[in-house]
Amino acid sequence: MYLKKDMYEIRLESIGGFGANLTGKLLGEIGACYMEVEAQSFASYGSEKRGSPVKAYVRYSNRDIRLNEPVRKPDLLAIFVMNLAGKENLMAGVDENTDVVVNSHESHDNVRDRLKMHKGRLWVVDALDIALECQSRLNMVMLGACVRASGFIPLEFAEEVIKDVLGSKYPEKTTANIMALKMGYTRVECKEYNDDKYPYQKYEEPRRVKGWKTGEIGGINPEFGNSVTNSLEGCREGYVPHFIREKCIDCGLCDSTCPDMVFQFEKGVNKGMDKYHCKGCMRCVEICPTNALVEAEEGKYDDNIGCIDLINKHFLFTDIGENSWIDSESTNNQEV
Amino acid sequence: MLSQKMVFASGNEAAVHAARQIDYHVMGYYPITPSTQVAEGLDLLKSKGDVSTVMIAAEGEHSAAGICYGSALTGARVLNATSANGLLYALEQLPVQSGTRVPMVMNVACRTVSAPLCIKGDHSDIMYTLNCGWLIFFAKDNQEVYDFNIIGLKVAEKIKLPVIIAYDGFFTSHQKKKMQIFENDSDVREYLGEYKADFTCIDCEAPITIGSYMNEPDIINNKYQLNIAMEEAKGVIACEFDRYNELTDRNYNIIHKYMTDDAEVIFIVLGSAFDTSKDAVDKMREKGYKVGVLTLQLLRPFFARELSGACRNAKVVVIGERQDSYGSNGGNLSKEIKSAFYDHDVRAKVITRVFGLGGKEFYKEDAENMLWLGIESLEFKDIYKFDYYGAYRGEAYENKKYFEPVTEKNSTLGYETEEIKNDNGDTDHIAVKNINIKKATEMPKRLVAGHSACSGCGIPVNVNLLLKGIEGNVVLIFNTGCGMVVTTGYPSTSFRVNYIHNLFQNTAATLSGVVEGYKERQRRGEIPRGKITFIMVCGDGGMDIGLGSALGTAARNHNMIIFEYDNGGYMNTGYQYSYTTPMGARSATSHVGKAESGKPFIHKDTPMLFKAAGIPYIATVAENQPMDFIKKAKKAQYYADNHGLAYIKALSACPLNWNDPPRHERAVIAKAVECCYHPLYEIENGKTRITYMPKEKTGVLDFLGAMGRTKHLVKEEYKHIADAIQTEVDRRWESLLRENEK
Repeated sequence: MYLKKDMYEIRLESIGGFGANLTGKLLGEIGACYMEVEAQSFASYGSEKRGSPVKAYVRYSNRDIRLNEPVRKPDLLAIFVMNLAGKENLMAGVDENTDVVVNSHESHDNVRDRLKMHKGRLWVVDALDIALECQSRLNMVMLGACVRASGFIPLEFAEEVIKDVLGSKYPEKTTANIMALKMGYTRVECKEYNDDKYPYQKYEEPRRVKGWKTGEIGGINPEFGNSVTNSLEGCREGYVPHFIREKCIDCGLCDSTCPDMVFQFEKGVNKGMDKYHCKGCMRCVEICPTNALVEAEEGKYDDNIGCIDLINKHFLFTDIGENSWIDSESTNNQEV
Repeated sequence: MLSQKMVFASGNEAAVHAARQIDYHVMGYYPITPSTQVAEGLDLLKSKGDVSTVMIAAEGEHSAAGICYGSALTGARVLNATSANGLLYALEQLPVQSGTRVPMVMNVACRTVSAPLCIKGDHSDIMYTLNCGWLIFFAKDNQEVYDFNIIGLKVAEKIKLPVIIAYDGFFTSHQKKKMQIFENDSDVREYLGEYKADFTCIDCEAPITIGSYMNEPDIINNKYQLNIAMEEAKGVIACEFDRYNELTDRNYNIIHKYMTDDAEVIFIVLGSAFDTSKDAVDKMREKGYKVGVLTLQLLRPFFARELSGACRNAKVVVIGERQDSYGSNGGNLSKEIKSAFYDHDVRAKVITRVFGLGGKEFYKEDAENMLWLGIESLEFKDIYKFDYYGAYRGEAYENKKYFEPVTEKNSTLGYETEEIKNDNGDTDHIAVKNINIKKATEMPKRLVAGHSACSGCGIPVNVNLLLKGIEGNVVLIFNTGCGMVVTTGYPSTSFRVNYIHNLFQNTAATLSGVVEGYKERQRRGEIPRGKITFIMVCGDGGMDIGLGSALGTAARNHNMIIFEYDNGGYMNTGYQYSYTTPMGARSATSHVGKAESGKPFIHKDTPMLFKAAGIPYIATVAENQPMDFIKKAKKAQYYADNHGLAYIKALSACPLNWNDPPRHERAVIAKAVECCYHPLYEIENGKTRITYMPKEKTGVLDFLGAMGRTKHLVKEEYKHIADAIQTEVDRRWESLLRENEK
């Protein structure tokens, strides 16, 4: 018997595009078809839309799994991107019995501080680096790290699931995927925390300020343009355009190609960028005729001027929530 | 028992397993979340040659249901899958199917009916079908989805009624669990036997009339036949459950009970919540409370006697409902159960709680609370018999103002338009002046930052380019699609002007109603004189399912603009092909494999359909020519203000599903323009003018090869598809050239 407890619960936290959903499915498959325990796997139904938060859940049990709810108190929590630090319910349910697997190049202590992790075993792996090295994907490395951290999922089952499930679809990637899996398994390092530096975070069912009494009837929304309070910085993948004013000729092409209304023009003059809303697509960098826009590493320049059209700047930015609308479970167009 | 094997599958995948083994003749469908995976999964199998089912993606659910009905009339075995508004759009077909006694199977992954639009699970859709004369099975998990798809078909063919297999959207449809299926496909086919329809529309030796014109005194007899069939179905279902049990060792009962025999309090709930509640029952039993839970396997026919029997000894029955029949103090399930209790002298007190709407989670504690309600009401009398569970009052909140609204005051930039007359004194064309990209940066954004479109998405780019050309007051209407879901996820909105969302099928009509209401209220002097430009924004999906309404609106020539952003696919639901998807393109419903080569037919030429409607202004635009784009928007506004309806179509990039890098999208669009896959032209008062003449027209593969979804077309084995596209693109371009010269 693989399971030492009645129910083993896994939560994967990511943003769309990193393939966390697939990792969840594979973990489910390992449980059901290889360890031959009862298994369940589902996602936060937000799916693989690039940039939006995704949660995937897996449960193993020796008896029928009757729950359909999200995993509130994980035995294993995997965080695919550190950008998620601070998000609602990210660290919910983590205590001294939890294994937390994180993709990061930072030290254990830094990661812990950024996550405000209460207690438990923190497993850190530079999954992005390994994925590049193996020419595989981050989710394969994370699968290896999760298998290791679990302490009971046999690595050979993960290998087999990659061969059986992915191998038929992408046979040419199997070797790379297995290498990534194994490197994730071996390179992930653990450090245990048992002090009370950060408090325990309880899972809270998401709630809005407006309810049936205080919200407008009919679901109408009179707060026009309030999406400006959403920060989209978390959607970026490490790079962001940098604006060099001296080279700009105010042609306006950047404003014509930006999907996120980042460029702040005033009377025909480009004043700079609202980086709260830049998703880092680099459309502007491609189009700028004078190289006034260049690709730069995240955080290298402090040149965010915000939205200049605002008449009310007294608000806190909120992370765009896990408001999941899209049902693209199809991995049809996504490379594994 | 026949041999079975374990699979790890979701509810939708379970339906696909059954469909594969049954090997239906035809599946007619239209993609809608969360049921779409059924069609996607079957199409994938088809592409591999594992099934031979003809897959027909209709242009809407109404047509999909029509395809199914037509196919079924030939004696074919037919499958459909839908949800929510799709089900409601198809609803009209349902009583026709049952009224003429034509069996088929439809999977319904239950979801909230809008508005406000919600894609998640509850039971507000399925209850609309109670009066349609269909058998309705309700599956609580993936295993039951599979089994009921097989048993349901068997019963349907015996009774000669169509059948719905309903299950929870997402909770069941998307959750993978272990389940058993027949190891040998032949066993499924053997159990079902060969289907021989009593009558078909293709036996020319024995002609029949299907769908008589029937008033009184006959219709009551037709409906009585239906009533008898439903009664007969009760016996047949019980028999088939027994037979199926022998084959599979999976034992189904009409009523699925858990610890109810001696229970004082019984909780009744449909779908996935049943299993969760079993845990709660165990916990309460440990504490000594006599509680139980039960669920119904069938909504139609309704097994009133069996249900009443199961509840006879209970003192309190708590019903959890994922929908409400507003104003009647209970959802439909409560009505049915109470009526059953009345007929069969069950004296239990009944309490109803509406819970879990729109996919709201149902935790173990929620199930305990439902049981507690029952326990408490054993002692206390003053418990509300009907209430909502989980709605919250909210906190006081003062709406904030982040921007000035975009009105005439701040969005009039001094663009100039001049009407050029021809020799007859009629409008020949409109000349636009004093407009350029730099000046257009001054246009305040009506669609603001903070929306959640994918990085590099073409939709906001195109909407903003359009609105850069439109001065003054604007009212926008969107139908369903990425454009609306990424901008208006409550409590957030990215719009700084008035915005409406309405249905796919009738958004153009809706806007025409807005236009005329506005004009008439002005004429009556109820609102001040003024000017608003009314703009409909929709994707190519909206121009599939809503095309009829859009063309009708065009024929009436209302003062408005229709703007189509065409990304060639239903991206919002995970990229199923649309009618403008390039032929041969890979999508979730058009796989590329040994037995299938992508989207089966050529992309639709929508602007030409509007040309036939005779509207004053039609234009195609592309973001790689922003100046041309903005000018055409201004012209469209002029026409909408003065002459009638203007239609503009943009090719819009979707990095996620075109499968190309976000940063290169403008270049990819340029390729589409250069090869004349998306030629730039306008049709003004019937006169065609090509607005961009490529110096050297490239081949379509230049464009198609730049997108991941079509790059396989470059290969030799798909040359026939690339050639077919090239031929059609050339034909359209030459036709434009001929018109241009006139």
